[in-house]
Amino acid sequence: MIEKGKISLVQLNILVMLFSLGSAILIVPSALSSVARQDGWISAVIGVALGAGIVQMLVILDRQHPGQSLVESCETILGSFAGKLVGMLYFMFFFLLASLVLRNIGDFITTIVMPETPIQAIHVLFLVIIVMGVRLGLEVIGRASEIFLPWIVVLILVLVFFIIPQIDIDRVQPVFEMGMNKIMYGSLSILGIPYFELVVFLMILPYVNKRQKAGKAFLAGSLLGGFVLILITCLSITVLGWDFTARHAFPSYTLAKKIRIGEFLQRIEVMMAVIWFLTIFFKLTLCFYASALAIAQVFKLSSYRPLVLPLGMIMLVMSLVVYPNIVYFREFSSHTWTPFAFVFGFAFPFMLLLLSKAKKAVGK
Amino acid sequence: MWAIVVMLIGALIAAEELPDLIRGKRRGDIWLFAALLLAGTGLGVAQSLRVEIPNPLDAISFVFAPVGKFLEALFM
Repeated sequence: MIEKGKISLVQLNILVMLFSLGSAILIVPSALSSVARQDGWISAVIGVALGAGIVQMLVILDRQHPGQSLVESCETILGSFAGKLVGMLYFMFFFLLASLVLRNIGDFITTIVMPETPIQAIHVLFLVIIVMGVRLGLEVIGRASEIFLPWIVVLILVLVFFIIPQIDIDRVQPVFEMGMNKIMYGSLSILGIPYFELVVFLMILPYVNKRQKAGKAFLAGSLLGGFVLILITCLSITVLGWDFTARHAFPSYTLAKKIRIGEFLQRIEVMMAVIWFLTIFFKLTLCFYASALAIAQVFKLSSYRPLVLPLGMIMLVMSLVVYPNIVYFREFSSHTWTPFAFVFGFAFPFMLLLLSKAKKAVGK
Repeated sequence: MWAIVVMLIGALIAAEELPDLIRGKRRGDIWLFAALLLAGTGLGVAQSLRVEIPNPLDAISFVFAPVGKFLEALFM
């Protein structure tokens, strides 16, 4: 076993929730309402329901080979060569996902909070803490999530309660104006970020205590995260209006800017930004951790830890190269990401599940 | 200037990890570590000298963007 640490069910639950909030809480409301307009919240509900189905499928796949991570079970199912090939593809997927998430937080800070700071400086600072976390291992990440959860919950509650006075329910009308087709198309974006990405947790499930209940905790965490995403989408649409939500790159931040209680409680959006820093920190750490573990398992190393620092160097360059500009990012996330993530988050796992069932049936 | 900083960081990482790796006497571990470190340092130096590094997303977009556009045409 490369990773000797264990995390508890509660920690898994929290990690899944924070992961599914991750960069999605920044990006998803705008993607949803640019397609389904004021019906974006319906897309979110449908997307979360479909996402629960995907998570259930991942849990069933995990039960086929208890104690083996995704990369290891690939080798059991597909044989040595093809298994290693798929394992390497998954390494690249996790690693790319980590670079993209790092770029998300870099773009967020340089466009909104600190426009004059070079993006490299922010990436280096963020990466240092991620590398530290990943080197310390899964147990530490799990415990850190327990420490930070109350802060995130309190901040989300503050955001929701202080924005309630500004809700204008007329903004969701007319309901179902866009028709079922566009609503369904909108829900694809919430499937792409974060539900297809949850495949990362197949690398972590083997290290959970009481494995029998791990599936339930996984599902519950993803539903909780989905609920918060639906909530933020509803608030963005009812407070900002769909057109404003669609036009902004980070509508949930604009939402926090709107908080205004009397003359004394306003401009607290940077405090709210702590929500995104913390959730993105956990998403990034888990993606990076999964990618380091994946490559270590493919090459049968005794530990993933020596690889973390070199991988961090590659990731820094990668995160700077991936999006030449913000238009490229919008185009990539609206057209390319969902089908690409579908291959890794649904098609491959489903194929593996079928093959492993078939193998077991033939074996009997 | 930054290129030198990147190389220094690469050297520091090697100094941090290599002793343990050599004591572990696992050839595979050492090779993979060295390959990744070389790749990381090389990419970092190239980036700091503003050499054009190919974007992996271009290749992914080449394959998957038509699928995404097809889906959009299907639903919209």
